[in-house]
Amino acid sequence: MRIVVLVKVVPDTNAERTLSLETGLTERATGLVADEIGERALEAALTYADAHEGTEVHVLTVGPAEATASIRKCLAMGAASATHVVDDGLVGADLGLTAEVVAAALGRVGYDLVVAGNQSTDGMGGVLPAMVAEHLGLPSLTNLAAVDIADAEVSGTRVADDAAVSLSAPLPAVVSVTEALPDPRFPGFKGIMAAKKKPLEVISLADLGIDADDLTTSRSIMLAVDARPPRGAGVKITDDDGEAGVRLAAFLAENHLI
Amino acid sequence: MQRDIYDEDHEAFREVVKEFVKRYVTPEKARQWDADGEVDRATMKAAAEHGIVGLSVPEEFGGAGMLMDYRFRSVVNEELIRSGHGSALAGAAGIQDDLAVPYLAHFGTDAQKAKWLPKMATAEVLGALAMTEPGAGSDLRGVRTTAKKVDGGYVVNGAKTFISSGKTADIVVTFVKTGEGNRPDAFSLLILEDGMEGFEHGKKLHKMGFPGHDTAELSFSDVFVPDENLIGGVEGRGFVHLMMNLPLERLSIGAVAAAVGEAALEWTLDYTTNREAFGKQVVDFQNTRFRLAEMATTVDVMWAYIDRAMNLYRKGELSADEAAKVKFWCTEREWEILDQGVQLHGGYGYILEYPIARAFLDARVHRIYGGTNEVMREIVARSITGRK
Ligand SMILES: Cc1cc2nc3c(=O)[nH]c(=O)nc-3n(C[C@H](O)[C@H](O)[C@H](O)COP(=O)(O)OP(=O)(O)OC[C@H]3O[C@@H](n4cnc5c(N)ncnc54)[C@H](O)[C@@H]3O)c2cc1C
Ligand SMILES: Cc1cc2nc3c(=O)[nH]c(=O)nc-3n(C[C@H](O)[C@H](O)[C@H](O)COP(=O)(O)OP(=O)(O)OC[C@H]3O[C@@H](n4cnc5c(N)ncnc54)[C@H](O)[C@@H]3O)c2cc1C
Repeated sequence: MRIVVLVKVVPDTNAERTLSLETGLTERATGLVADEIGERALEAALTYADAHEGTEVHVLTVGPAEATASIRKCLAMGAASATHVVDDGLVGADLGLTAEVVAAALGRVGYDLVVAGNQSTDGMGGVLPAMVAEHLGLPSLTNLAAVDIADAEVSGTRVADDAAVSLSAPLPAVVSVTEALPDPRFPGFKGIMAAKKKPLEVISLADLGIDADDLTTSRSIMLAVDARPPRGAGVKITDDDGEAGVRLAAFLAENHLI
Repeated sequence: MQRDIYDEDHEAFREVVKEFVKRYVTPEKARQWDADGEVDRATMKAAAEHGIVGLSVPEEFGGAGMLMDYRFRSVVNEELIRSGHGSALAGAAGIQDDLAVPYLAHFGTDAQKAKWLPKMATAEVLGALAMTEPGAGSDLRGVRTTAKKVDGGYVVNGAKTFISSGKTADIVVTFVKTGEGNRPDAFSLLILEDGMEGFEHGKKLHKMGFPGHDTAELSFSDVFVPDENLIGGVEGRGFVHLMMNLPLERLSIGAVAAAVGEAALEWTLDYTTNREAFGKQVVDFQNTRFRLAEMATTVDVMWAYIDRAMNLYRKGELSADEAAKVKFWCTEREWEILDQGVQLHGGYGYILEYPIARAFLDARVHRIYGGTNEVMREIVARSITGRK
């Protein structure tokens, strides 16, 4: 079986992230990491592969050239191979274009099961996996808090506010997973060295036959971007007459906080 | 100053060590090690699983094959120490990879390598190196532990002290007298195995620093050690073997000192930035700024020196006297930086909750073990004057 995991490479969540007011994109100079939710998706695939010989896990990333180190980390964790789609035409790509690219790349790579995160930490669109499934005409099980992969079927549980929904679909299918999945493993020395020898194919839009500027398709276009206004000073309650508690309670009530 | 000895593999490995620290080297874990006086075996094994321990074991025996390249080891030191909770683990890892494994990997017979190294790569077997005795430290050739030849092996009598990892180790590479007098060929290295009859661990030593890493007394009364445990299988090579691994041992202490210096600078910068006095941040007093500038510069020079030594070591060209210079010079700079760091922390610098205070106490032994700094100066002086 071939499982393809969609891993987005995002600005380091531990570092400060800034939005460029010129491009509307997150500045990516401060260091990139494989999105943690993508690592969790990878963990689910690797756990299955560990227990089922003949399963091959492949990582697919659409992202800037600097994403290589993060893709190598995925290989060091245990993925067998990877595809990296990188192209200047994809800078600032919207969900629609990204989904088109991911779907085309999946067609090229081949898959029995596609595992994605439910939502990226930076774009937070939360719909890419469903869009990809739509392009490929595949069943789509989204927001799974537990996944069970079998020979010809994938199933799982989606936890909603008031219910847990059991879902299943025949393979091939697309699933997206939530943070409820187990923590991802992390590589070791040997994984890093082995990763250097694993195939990592870098392809461009031309390789996929996609025209990023094709205006016959609808695209979302950013018209304006603004920084969040700085926070106001806030209200300070000082206790100079022993009545501060009352005023604090009044303030909280006024703002519907109690 | 930007260091240039690391490539992308080292940086990828650094991320591994950082992640390991995040998951395994927690403040609670460090407290546990301190209370137990040793690092738990499960953590050692987990570290080995990620290649953080076992770096110097040759690849054919399941290790990383980095015996002649200290860079990955230095990355381990740097990240464990920086965390402020990892010094005991750094110490335990260092004993395994810098002091125990090399004697087997360099000088062991094929059978010894095949028997011990695969298990040392996984930390299923931990090693220690026992040279020092109650009556002989600097003067190594004054050791009195004897190994008398008998049929099929040796009978060992004597005692060792201050042996790092001496309690947790499964095998102890032990420096013994197999001949008469104190000529270099009167000594051998024997592998003593935990559990051998007559091999006892003495009382736990209460140290000034490194509370989480065991240091033990060992005693031997009529311990029978089979021939197969004679390192290299040839008698009389013990002293030469020790001399050959000294550059690595001294480089490792110097590299740890530089890592501690760098961490101390980071902790101090962080602390003084968050501490206020007289209405301003402590970091903004001119004295603080000058001291921090000195610390930062010293750290840079230490790394420049260590990095150069690491490069020489990779080429097999780091001599014993060059390594002696590195050891004494770096551990003394480390001491100055820590003293300054403690000072800039004020009273909190004296409180063991703060990593700077612990590092200060830990570091004191760096000028003593691995050959005292006086002995290091003797070695350097000998190399430049040609006189004993
Ligand atoms: C040169 C270049 C620069 C880029 N710059 C940016 C940028 O500044 N900001 C930005 O948000 N995006 C950037 N992208 C990536 C792409 O445009 C977005 O990933 C896309 O719009 C998806 O939006 P989302 O993160 O909201 O998806 P979501 O729907 O929130 O993602 C859900 C899941 O889909 C999968 N997924 C999403 N995106 C990708 C991807 N790119 N590769 C593999 N799997 C994916 C993951 O499994 C993810 O967990 C860049 C891409 C390239 C090639
Ligand atoms: C925490 C800790 C861990 C250790 N781990 C190990 C270990 O794993 N394995 C091991 O074998 N040993 C270990 N040691 C022992 C350590 O290496 C010795 O303590 C050290 O070599 C000094 O020996 P000594 O204590 O006998 O001091 P001595 O040799 O008695 O020295 C006393 C003083 O005399 C000075 N001196 C001695 N000779 C000269 C000279 N020729 N010229 C000038 N001054 C001189 C010394 O510098 C020192 O200041 C450890 C020690 C400690 C404290």
